[in-house]
Amino acid sequence: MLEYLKTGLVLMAITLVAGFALSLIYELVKEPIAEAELQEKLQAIRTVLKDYATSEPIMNEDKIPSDSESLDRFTWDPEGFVAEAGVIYTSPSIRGAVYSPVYRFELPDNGQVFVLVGESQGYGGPVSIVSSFIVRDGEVILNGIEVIEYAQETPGLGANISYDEVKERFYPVERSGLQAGLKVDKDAGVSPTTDTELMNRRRREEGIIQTSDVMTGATITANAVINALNLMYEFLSEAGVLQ
Amino acid sequence: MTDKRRMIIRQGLFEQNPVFMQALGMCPALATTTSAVNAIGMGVATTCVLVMSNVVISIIKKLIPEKVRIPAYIVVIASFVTMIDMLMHGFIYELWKTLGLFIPLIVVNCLILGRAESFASKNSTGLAFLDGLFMGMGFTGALFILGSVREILGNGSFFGMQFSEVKLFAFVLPPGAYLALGLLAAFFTFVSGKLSKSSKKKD
Repeated sequence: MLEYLKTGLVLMAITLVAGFALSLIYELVKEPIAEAELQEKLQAIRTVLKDYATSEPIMNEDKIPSDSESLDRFTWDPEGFVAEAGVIYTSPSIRGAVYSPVYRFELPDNGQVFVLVGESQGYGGPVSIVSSFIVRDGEVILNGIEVIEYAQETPGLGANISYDEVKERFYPVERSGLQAGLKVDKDAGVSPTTDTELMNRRRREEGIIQTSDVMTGATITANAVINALNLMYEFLSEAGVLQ
Repeated sequence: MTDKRRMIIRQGLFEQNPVFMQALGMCPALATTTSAVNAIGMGVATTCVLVMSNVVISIIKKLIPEKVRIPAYIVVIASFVTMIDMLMHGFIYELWKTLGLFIPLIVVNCLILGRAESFASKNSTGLAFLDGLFMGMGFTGALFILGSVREILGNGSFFGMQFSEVKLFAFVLPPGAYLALGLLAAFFTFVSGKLSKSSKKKD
C-alpha cells in the first residue's frame, strides 16, 4: 500500500515539476511566437497584394501595412456577419472557415481588394491561406494566394504547397472559373497538360487547377487550398460585394 | 575513466551510430531528410532533447521507482520536446514550419527513450551528458549525410544552392529515402569494419 502511494507521489512530483517548467517556457516564448505569426501574416498580405501579371504591388507601397496598428485600419466589417471565436464565415457545403478580421483596400481606380485569411482541412491538420480578390467595375478576379500554415502536411508531397511554382498554379481565376467552383485537374477529369496557355485558360475560365504534375499527384493539400478559396468566394458573394 | 569517455564518443559517432548501426529513429531519418538544412534542424533538435533528457534522467534515476520508470522518462522527454517545439516556433519560425509534425514526434523517437533506459539510468550525469551529446551528433551526422545525398541527387542543390539541372526526383520521395539509407548504411558498415580491423592490427 505504502509503496503504491510512494510510486504515485513520485510520478506526480515529476509531472508537476515538468508542468511548471513548461509554463515558464511558455510565458517566455508567448510574445516571440505572436510576433513571428504576425510578421508571417504581414508578409503574406504583402505577397498577395502584388499584381499577378507584373509582380508589382497593386497599390502604393507605403500604404501597405507594416505593423498590426496600420493593418487594423483596413479591417472590413461586412453587414450581417458576426465573428465568433475568430471565425467570420463557415458554410454547410464546404469544409473550412474564413477568419475574422477581413481586410479591404481601396485602389486608386475605384477598385477594391479583399484580403482574406482562411483555412480548410489538409492531410494532417488545417491548411491556412491568405488570398486577395480584386473587385473592379463589377468584375472579380482571384489575384493571389499565400499559404501560411501547412505544418501537418507530408514533407516532399503536400508540403510542396509552399513552393512558388505550386502556388502560382492557383491564380489568377476570373469570375466564370470562381463561379464554377475551383477543382484540381484530377477531380475535373482532365489530364495534365504541358501547354501553359491551355493550362492557364482552363484555370482562368473553368477554375481547373493543375497541380498533379508539380505536386507528385498529391491532391489532399491542394484540395484544402481549393476548399478554402471556394469558401472565401462564397463568403464574398454572400456579403454582396460581387454585384 | 578517459578510456570510457573515448569509448562513448566512438560508439555514438561510429560503432553504435543510431541510424546506420542501430537503425533507431528511422521515422525522422527517412521523413525529414529531404534537404540538408532540414536534416540538420531535425538532428540538432533531437540532440538537444537527448542531452537534456539524459542529464535529467541520470540526476533523478535514484528517485524513480522501478515500476513507473518508463512513464517518468516519457514525461521528462515529452516536456523537453514541447519546450524545443515552442522555442523553435518563436525563434526559428521558418524551420519550425518545414519540420512541422516531426518536432512533436521526437517524443516517440526510440533513440531517446533507448538511451534513457539503457544508459542514463545506469551511469553518472557526466557520462550521460557525453553519451547524449555524441549519440545526438552521430544521429545528426547520419541525417546530414542522408539529407545531403538526397538533396544533391534529387534536387540538384546543396543547402538550397542550385548547381545542377539533373534531378533524380525519386530521391526526394520516400522510396529514394529507403534506397539512400540502405546504400549509406552498407557503405558505413563496410568502412567502419575496415577501420576497426586496422586499429585491432595496430594493437
